[in-house]
Amino acid sequence: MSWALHLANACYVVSYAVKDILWLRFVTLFASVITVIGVWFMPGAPRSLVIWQVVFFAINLVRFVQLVHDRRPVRLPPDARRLAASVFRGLRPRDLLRLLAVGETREHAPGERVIARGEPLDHLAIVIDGTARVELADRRAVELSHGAFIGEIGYLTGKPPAADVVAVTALRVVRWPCAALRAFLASHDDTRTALQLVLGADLAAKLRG
Amino acid sequence: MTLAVGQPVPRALADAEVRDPAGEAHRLAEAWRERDAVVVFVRHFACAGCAEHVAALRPRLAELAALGVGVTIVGNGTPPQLAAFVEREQLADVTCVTDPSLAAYRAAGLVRSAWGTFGPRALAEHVRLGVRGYASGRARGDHLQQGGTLYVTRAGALAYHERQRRVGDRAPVGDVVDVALAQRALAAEAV
Repeated sequence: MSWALHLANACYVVSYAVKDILWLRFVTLFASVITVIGVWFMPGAPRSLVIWQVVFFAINLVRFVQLVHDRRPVRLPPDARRLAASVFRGLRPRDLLRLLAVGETREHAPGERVIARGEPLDHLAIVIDGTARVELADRRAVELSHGAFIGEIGYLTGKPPAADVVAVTALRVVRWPCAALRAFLASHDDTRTALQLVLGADLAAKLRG
Repeated sequence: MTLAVGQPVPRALADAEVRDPAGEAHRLAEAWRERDAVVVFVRHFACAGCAEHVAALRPRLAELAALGVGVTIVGNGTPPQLAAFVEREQLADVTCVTDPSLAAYRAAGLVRSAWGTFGPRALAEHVRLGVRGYASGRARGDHLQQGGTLYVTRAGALAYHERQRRVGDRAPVGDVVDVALAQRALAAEAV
């Protein structure tokens, strides 16, 4: 079975030569199978060689499957598609889906209080559908619609909100628990950068009035 | 003389004399005279870790500027070495100064350490940086001095303080942007 070992080594040569990591792993997987066959049928060959090849194969296979999964095209559901087009334009679709998966969708009836002034707030939300009204202490009111954040000042500063937010129409939001969102962003730098950009633009707009 | 987040920066830090690439003297407090400032202390002007730090900071400069935050980079070589650093790192639109006396570094409570430069973890960092394409050259400044990052509000209060302990340490730029966002959020709330 020495031809199998030659074929396997030829595959390894090819795998070292290719630039794309997916092809490298694919060719190496193939080479591992050929190596195992060659060693298995080789008289007197130690079985430990087969065991090590199986270990290499298993690690490689897991990484290969992950790579294939990561490279598959992403189909965004309608809400995510709207957010991608309007708010998270710089975020890759897969990252947006991961970000949204950290939160949950909540619905509020018209007139329902979404956040209350002075009460500790442990989540950040973004409006998907409907309208909410921010009622400030001095009786000024600001309307929030699709793509606007709710509770972002509390999220950024840790302070309780200085205004009530009430649903004007049926309101649908994505709501992220602050602790879970921070933990997620700590390990997803690109998403953190994208969210910071969006929050920065949101704050700049609020400062401009 | 201690630095504490939320407190005014010490007088010695605000008054520390730094020099621009032309050799002209300035007070460090000029950095936060008109707007909030991120003050990044680099080690020396040929430091690989500092080049990596600047590379991480550069894409976020426009975002910080949009938040009304200026960035000042402080090194410790001579003014001509600073001028070469500014050109090499393409920092013409960033305020860069140098503090050859290290007075600002001391006032900022930053570490000066041989262990931080030559210790095993520092050497491992040199290897990591080399693999990523950042090689240290001959020191242009004090090679034992470590860096750090401060966020000082326009009112002169310290909002963020990070001290590097060894080569390759650096404040995550995302943390600095978070501080800038929090400052803007407080301003928005006041409005």
